[in-house]
Amino acid sequence: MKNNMIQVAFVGNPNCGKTTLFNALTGANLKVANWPGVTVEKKEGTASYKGQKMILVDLPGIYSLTSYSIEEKVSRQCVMEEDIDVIVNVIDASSMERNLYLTMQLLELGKPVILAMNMMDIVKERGMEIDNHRLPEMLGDIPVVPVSARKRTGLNVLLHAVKHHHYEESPQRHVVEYSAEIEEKISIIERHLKERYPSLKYLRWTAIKLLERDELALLQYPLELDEVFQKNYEKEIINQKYNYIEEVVDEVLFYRKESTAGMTDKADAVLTHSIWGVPIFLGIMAAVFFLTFNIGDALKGVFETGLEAFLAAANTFLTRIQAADWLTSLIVDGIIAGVGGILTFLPNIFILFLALGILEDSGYMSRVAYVMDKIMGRVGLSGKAFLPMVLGFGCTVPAVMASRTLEKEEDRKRSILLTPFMSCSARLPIYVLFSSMFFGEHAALAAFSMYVTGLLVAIVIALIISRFQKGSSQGTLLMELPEYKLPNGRTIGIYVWEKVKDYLSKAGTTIFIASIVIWFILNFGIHGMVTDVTESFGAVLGHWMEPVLAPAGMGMWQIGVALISGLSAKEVVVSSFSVLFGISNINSADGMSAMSQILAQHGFGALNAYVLMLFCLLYTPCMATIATIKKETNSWKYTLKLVIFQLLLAYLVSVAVFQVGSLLGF
Amino acid sequence: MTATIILGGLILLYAAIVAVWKIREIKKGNFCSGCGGNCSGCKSKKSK
Repeated sequence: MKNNMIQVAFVGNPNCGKTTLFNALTGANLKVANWPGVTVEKKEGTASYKGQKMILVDLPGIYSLTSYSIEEKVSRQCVMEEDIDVIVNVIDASSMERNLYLTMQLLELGKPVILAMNMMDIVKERGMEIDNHRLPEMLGDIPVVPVSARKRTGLNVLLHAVKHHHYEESPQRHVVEYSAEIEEKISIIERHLKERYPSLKYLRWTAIKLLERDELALLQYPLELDEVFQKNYEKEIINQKYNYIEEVVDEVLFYRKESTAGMTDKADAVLTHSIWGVPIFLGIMAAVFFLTFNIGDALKGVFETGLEAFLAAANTFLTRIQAADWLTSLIVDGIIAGVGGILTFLPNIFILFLALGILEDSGYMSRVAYVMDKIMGRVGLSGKAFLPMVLGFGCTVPAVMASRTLEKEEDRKRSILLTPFMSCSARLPIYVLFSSMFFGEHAALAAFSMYVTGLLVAIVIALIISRFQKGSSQGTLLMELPEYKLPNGRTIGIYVWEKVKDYLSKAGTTIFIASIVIWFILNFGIHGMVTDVTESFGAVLGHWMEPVLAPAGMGMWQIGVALISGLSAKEVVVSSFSVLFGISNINSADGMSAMSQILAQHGFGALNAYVLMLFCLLYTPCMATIATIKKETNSWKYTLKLVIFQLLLAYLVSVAVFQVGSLLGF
Repeated sequence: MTATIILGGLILLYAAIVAVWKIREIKKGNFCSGCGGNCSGCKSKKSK
């Protein structure tokens, strides 16, 4: 106990609802999704029950305490070594047989354990019943609390159990009785451990781990007992644990009516079909983007009217206070044009995340990894590597961090390399703007093609790497597919609200500053404030880039400036265009028409716009992503190589597409 | 003139504060500037 606060660790299998339960108890809004592996770091929050304060620690999901990947190590280390008073073992009560394996290991550890049986609502829906009196008896009389994190039931009972049972340690708890041969060996090892490591508390657990030849246990508590360690007992111990779990499940689980799990199987027969799975995925994503465009466009009128009214009010105000010309220009042409322009894309962002939230929470997104497993396997990656990429459709930063779930260093690096090619939401305003300006009724299709191109580029690069690099992961994807469920309004609400809030906060901070910087470099030159924009710092910088970008059809100095500023955040490309061309409401029909006319004067047409979108898709990710890549790989060299590679790739692809497109007469 | 100085000063002061804050956050490894605070590292710090 730390400062009279009980330290509680939430441990459980991936996707059993630990984070949802953690959020419900602490009031936090951590990311949850209906697929395994969303939590990759331990997180802390506080809760209080009848005056007793508690520190709750949410840990990454694990299937057992024998750990190989980073998130498994994080959980094991925390449970074993930190000052944890009590373990709340969260299980998916609708899949008891699988979840109880970790429970058995936690019970063997001897620390106080409370079993939180989550998803009791699903248990009921499926017509199952669990004998809550017999279950604790069979698990060494630990407290067993049925909860539903989604429906927020049983939460107080759980906190009550934590308050009243956190001290019930029983290091010699015997729940699973192994065969006589194994039990005898455990006793011998325990005796030797006691002699050699007198301060060691968890004798039985350590003895079992040593018998399983667990790497960490062997390193920490080496014993020279050749006659005991003649063979590895891991398989036998696992089998005997499962035999006991089977007994438990047989005794406590009843079915009142036929399971509805069949529905999931029927849906999966279609959605994860070996031939139709990929086209269905692409079809669903296409539907998401058509909705994003059409509904988003219908809603954006409100924002445009608001922006125009704000612009008029700002002009009146600035005239009334007799503000200097430079200040009026900074506010109207810089800040309002840049930040306001970005805010009008909010409806598109809202619809995109609403749709992605529904897909995640329903359980479909985890099928995507399964569907993509075959393709990823052919390019030397497992479907597991595709999960971080799916996250990348939202934001690349958490997607890069999620690559930690991959065991092999090489796979992790490869996944980090490929993830930025997934179109994050920051690129959406670029696609919406340029496809609406140049592709008319085919705008949504043009934008969707960016998402598909990103996927294809990632696959092709993975294929090339696998040809040149040995040690490609050919491992089979082993992941649990959650049952389909009706998306939860609260979960989706939190998810969408977080994204909208983040977008607004980004507009008020990163984009605000970027707009001021862009305004400054366009209005100042070496001799101070300029009236002719061609003498500005921006024009000088852009003109250097013009000849380089010309072969890709982007030979305008303004594009060079916008692309550089886009490194701060990809939306800034759009806000820069607003400031660079002095268009205050760039997302409105008038704004787009004015801008396309200016661009047309420079010979910038549909092909140029498509190449610009392509370049924005492929070129160096934003600074936050670069910093995360450095943090995750712990290598500036690798990060720099990656940045240069992506820049070169974007340039070469853009030049190739523009030149071929021009030859074909587009 | 006074209004210009006050308003311009406030805008530039806000921009400077935000810029310093963003740089410090990134140095600390808190990348809210790009992910909008949605990465697990940022969340972890928020929830503490």
